[in-house]
Amino acid sequence: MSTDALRPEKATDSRAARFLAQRGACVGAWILAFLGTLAAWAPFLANDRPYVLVATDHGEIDRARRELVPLAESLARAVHALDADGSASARSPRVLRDAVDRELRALEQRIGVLDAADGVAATARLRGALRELQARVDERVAITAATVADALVEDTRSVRDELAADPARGAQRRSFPLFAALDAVDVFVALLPIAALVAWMVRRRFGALRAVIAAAACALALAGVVRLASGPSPTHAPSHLKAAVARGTVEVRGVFFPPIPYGFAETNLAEVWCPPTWLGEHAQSAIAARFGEPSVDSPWRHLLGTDALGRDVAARVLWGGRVSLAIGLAAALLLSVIGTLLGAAAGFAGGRVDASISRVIEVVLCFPAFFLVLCAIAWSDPDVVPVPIAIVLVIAAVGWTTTARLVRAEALRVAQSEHVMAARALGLHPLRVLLRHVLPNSIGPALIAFGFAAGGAISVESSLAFLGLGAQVPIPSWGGLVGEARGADQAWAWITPGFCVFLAVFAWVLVAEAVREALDPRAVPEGTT
Amino acid sequence: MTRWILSRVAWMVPTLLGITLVVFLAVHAAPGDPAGVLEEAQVGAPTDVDNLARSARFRAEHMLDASLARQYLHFLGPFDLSPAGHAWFGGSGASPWHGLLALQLGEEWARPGVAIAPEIGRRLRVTVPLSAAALLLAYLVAIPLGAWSALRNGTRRAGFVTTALLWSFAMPSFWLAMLAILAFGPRGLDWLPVFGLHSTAAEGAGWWMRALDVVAHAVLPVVVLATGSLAWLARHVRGSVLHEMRSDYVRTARASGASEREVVRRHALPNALLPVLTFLGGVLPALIGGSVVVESVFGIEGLGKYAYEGLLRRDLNVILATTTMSAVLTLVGILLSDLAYAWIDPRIRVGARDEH
Repeated sequence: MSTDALRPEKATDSRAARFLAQRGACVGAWILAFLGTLAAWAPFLANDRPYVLVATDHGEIDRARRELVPLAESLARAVHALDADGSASARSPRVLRDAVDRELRALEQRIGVLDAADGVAATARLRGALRELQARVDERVAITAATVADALVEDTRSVRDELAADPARGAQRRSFPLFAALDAVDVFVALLPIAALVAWMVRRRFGALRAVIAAAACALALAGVVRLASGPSPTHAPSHLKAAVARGTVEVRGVFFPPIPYGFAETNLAEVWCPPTWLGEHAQSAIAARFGEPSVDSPWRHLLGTDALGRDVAARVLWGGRVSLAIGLAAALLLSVIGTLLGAAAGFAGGRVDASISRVIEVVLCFPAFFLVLCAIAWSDPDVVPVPIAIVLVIAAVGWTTTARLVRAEALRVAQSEHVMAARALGLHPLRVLLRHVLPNSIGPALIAFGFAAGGAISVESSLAFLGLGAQVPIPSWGGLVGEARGADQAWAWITPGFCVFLAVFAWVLVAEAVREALDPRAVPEGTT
Repeated sequence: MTRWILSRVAWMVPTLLGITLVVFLAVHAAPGDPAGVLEEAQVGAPTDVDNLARSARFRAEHMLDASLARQYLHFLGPFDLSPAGHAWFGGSGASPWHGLLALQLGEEWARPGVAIAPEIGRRLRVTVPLSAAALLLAYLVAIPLGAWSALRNGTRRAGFVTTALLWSFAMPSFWLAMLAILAFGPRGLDWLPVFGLHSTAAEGAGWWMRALDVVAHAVLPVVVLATGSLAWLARHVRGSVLHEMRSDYVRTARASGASEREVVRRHALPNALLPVLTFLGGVLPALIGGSVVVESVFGIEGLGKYAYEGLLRRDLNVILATTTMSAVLTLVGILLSDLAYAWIDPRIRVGARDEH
């Protein structure tokens, strides 16, 4: 305390410097950054959708051709319905208007497909008609809108016949399947490592806290833009591209796949339990590489082998980190907040509040928490609370006691200090004294406990997932991957995911140790786990 | 002393009550009817009519139609509150006793007629020795390791030991268990059996062969179980020794000319190792929780595996019984360690309890 007060620079600066000066802190932080970045960029690193695809999709063109006239007819029906209503009440109800818009968009999309496929000449006419119809509907010129719609139906018929006369025609189109399948959360998470890097680089100019907040806000804003601009239904379901190429309905001119061209749920029953291909022990006959995949005899084909359904283990490990790390972080945040608030309240208020909170802490500490977690997870209803959230809640509910005990001890000390007495003597409301004066000064132990809590939460979650009680989402967690491959002879399917759990927990513990060292270098290192 | 012991034992009562209440609420307040969940989980087991009759019996036995408070009292015992229960509570007196306090834990759903209480007794005879052995091993390794790394604090070797302890802390037990099976099991070195606690080959042999067989089976599970607690224990031992080495009486001893060896052996270590007993309270919950994973990986028919199987079958009776039993086990362990500590260290009996 006294040495910090004597120093010219701010105490927080020297603490941060002390934290970074330790080798453990650097190793832990680098491991966490590495694992976190891999997990955040999993969709870009392991995906069965290519970044860019230049191809002619004969299936899609045929479908658009077939659907053109029915869609135009249903659009005309919608316009007529709007028309009939509009003449009666002069104010079109939302429902009818929305129906027209929906039909317009659907037709426009089909025209877009044909446009790219069959050249501009035939479809330009349709586009013009469509735009005119849109204008009429917008201006609510009832009679003409209906007429235009009827004319549009005739147009589509003639265009269809024109195209049907020359079925072989079809031009290539450029698309971005991987990016189209991302949702806003994916984009936000993927931007986080970049935001962290930028915040780190500008921390001196703007101050660390402001830089972090600004970078996170930018990432959030970008993700919001993506959410607004994204396609109709982003999905992580396996794509049909490889199968379509194999059938010949998609004719590919150019493609650029991610380094691991497999989805986390993409099965390949021809290649079950394939050992890591760089070992050179896998059978190379009989099977054929599908579109976009490395050739069967390539050492890069399945870096970590495949599992019982022929899914690529490397892709699953990358995606699995998203679940494990996110659940660990969320649970640690939640239990730190609960523990800090209750601990500070107990230490500050004393008396009956302190006694009751301390008793609760003792009871929870005595309890074999893993049994309670198992019990609660097995009995929670996935329809009411999704399993990942239930896991976070339960881990926080049994894990807050360590933080609370440490913060309570610190708050007891702080509550006796002079500045708190001064604040009390000034007549401030006790709640204000607690939140503004006691809490900020007794948060140190919570920071130390945070790393241990995050590590502990990751290992509890993986144990749950290993026992088959984890999140039953399509994306597996690391523990779940180990559990899936449990009884099997094929060790490659569980060694890496288990090692990832180990690395993540180890890194968190290293960081926690370094935080303890930085906050209180002379203290006796006591257990905080 | 007697008063202190009595107060410790008395303190267990609200803790136990709190635990039973939490377990009860976790199961009963969750959306969905326990009997309904059971029926769903048991599709196809016995015939439908049979199943319905059993679930009706189950409902009656657990009084699932009564209020939650009455259900809890019924579950806690020792009086049976159902219509066929104790005469004091308006029952017919046919079966006066029921619930935890009467040690009537019901029977398993999956295997009708198998009472849970004796089954738990059987399982405890596996889990308690295993946990005790793991604890012993953890203490035997952690105390020298922790003390050594504290006495050599700051050296490179001590730093390495500290890091290695962090590794062992971070090692997920299921992964470690599978690695151990891979390394020492039939697919690796083939040194040790990796499944269950007995092998059929040893059945006809003499008692010492059978004992050897059990020990061979228990080596890997005990080591894996101990690894989980090892790091925590060693950290605390290290902290305790460091604390004592910086205290005034050690400085006095040094100033009065005692050799370093004598300071450590005669003064610091005895005091530093006293509170080691109380660390049991921190290790035991994790150890018993960890037995679920370890026992199910090694296929050992202990309490943890029983609880896990009960959970997978959504067997209400089994879950309530095993969870309560694990809590009792932990509390008894903590109580024993407290008593031993008080016996060794008279300050505890006299003064306030040391919050170490």
